[in-house]
Amino acid sequence: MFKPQFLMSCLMKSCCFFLLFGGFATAAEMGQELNLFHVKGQVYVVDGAGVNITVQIGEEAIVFVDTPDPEYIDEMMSLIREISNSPVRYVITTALDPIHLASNDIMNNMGFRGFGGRGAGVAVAIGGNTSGVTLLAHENVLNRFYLTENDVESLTLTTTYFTPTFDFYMNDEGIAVYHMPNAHTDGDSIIFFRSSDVISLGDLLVQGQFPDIDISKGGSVNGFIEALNFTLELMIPGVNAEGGTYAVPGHGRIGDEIDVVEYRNMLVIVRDRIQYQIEQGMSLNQVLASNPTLDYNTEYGGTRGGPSSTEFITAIYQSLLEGME
Amino acid sequence: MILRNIPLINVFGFIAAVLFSSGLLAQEIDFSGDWRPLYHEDLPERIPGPHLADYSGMPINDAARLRGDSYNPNRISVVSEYICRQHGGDYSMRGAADLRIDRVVDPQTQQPIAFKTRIGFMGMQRTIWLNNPERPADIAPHTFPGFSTGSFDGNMLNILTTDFKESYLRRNGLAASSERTTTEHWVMHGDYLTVVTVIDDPIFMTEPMVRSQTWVKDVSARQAPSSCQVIQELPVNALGQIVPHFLPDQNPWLMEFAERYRLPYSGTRGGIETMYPEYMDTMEAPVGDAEFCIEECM
Repeated sequence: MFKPQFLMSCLMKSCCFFLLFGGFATAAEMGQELNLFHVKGQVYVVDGAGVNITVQIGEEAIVFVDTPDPEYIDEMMSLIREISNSPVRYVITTALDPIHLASNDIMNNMGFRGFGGRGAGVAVAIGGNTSGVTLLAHENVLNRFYLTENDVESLTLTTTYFTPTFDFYMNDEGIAVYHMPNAHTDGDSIIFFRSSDVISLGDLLVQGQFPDIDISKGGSVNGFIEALNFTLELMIPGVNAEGGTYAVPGHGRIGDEIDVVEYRNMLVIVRDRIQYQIEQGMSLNQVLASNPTLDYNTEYGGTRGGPSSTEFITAIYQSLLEGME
Repeated sequence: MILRNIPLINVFGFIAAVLFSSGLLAQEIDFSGDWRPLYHEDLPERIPGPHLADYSGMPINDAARLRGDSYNPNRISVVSEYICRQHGGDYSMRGAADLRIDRVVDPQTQQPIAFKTRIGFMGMQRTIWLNNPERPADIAPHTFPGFSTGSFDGNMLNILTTDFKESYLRRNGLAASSERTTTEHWVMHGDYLTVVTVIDDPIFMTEPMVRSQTWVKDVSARQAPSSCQVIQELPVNALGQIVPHFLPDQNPWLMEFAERYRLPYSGTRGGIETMYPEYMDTMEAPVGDAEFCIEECM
């Protein structure tokens, strides 16, 4: 039999353990603990900041896709500096969302940027300013910021592109930035790290949440589906549909091709249902009452954030109506 | 006495070595070997494959039921990404394929640290860790086999698996979510291996589901190499869909299973309300023509 003193000792130790590690758990639950997760090749993800920050880390430079809330910057950079002292050269913004570009202005002071065009070398030679990083986004991100009312208080960008793609070479790796028109917004970019075989999708993939089709910023359901189909064209799965090209979502766990397929399939099936209901002359309220996302609500419409099923259905309905006009 | 001249520690060391080498101290069972599946359990579902809209005996919720009702079998031909898709780690144990189990030992301690399994279908591989490793980070990709850790309870190996990819509960469109967990219990009786699997899926089930499978050891069995090449079989289905599916209430096959086997339709729809004896109090009359039941009928 155990002696009372032994049992009391165990109880005390258990209490200490609970108090000690219970505190850590609470911090993690509050999203205050960041982790640097190695995805593949030179690509990592900073996890725990409320939004996934994709980072390419190499000997030449550090490239960011999106930036977290300013409160996470110091901890994020500490994690990265444990494995690299390379300068920050690029920050690519995937869309005009506060949560994806909250620290662009802070990141702007962390590295140096290049000059564009054939006169770049001359510009540097005559004393052009090379401080700051290249803060890149599609032109529509800038246009939306200035031309429409939005929820972004400020926007720091140094470079925009208006062509279908923008590419550059960094850390011995080709990096292709593709514009995905009219998907989540009309300024979405996905970033393909070609040698590492990783695509950063921003909010075009959010595991466990319904897609956020922001019609007020030019998003559309069909554009969203086209963007995912394009992404699938880029992705090559590993053996038995496992691994291969990885997809970093804007939020949630990392996926591979089949995760993007399931997300695309859900969007296509719900789109087709609502399209049919519109063709039958059903109003939005009637469509909502029919619950066309019933089979997806438990998986995507839970308590993990993102649009509710009502918001998701409404966005699809309005998007399809706009497309018919 | 001879023992007086031998240091005591050497005596204990000798006894321990004998016990360890004979496995008397280690309770772990070695499941290594080649195993052939026996199909006396659930044969219609496992070998020819389940009927469309047969959800009987499944503790599913409304979300799972509509997923199943929307499923069009053309999907696995049109969605090319599914062509080389492997089963989930739980469903793979029910497939029509041999199972090979290899034991992995730590080279330093010679203690088992894992079992590795390979299923003949698609050459699916899985690791069951016995050395209690950390589970993957929340942000880590999920996999079809999932992440499995095992521990022995006497002669029984208990396995917890998490981090699955989305797959299927039954190959007729009933989905199994990436949030499901399974608990397996492996027991060996002579040359027979029985695996009981408890599936808990908060997305698609209202209570856990229990299934079991049995294998017989076959020392002559050898698996074939496996490779799968993705080839687009159909660009779209007849309706022009890139993801074939039936709109709600438009699946023409929902009654087929009940009619074919002359069953109460509600019983084929699954759910815990149809799984227990109390269901017989409310069960409606069978549907269909009894003459039509031509196979696997009681």
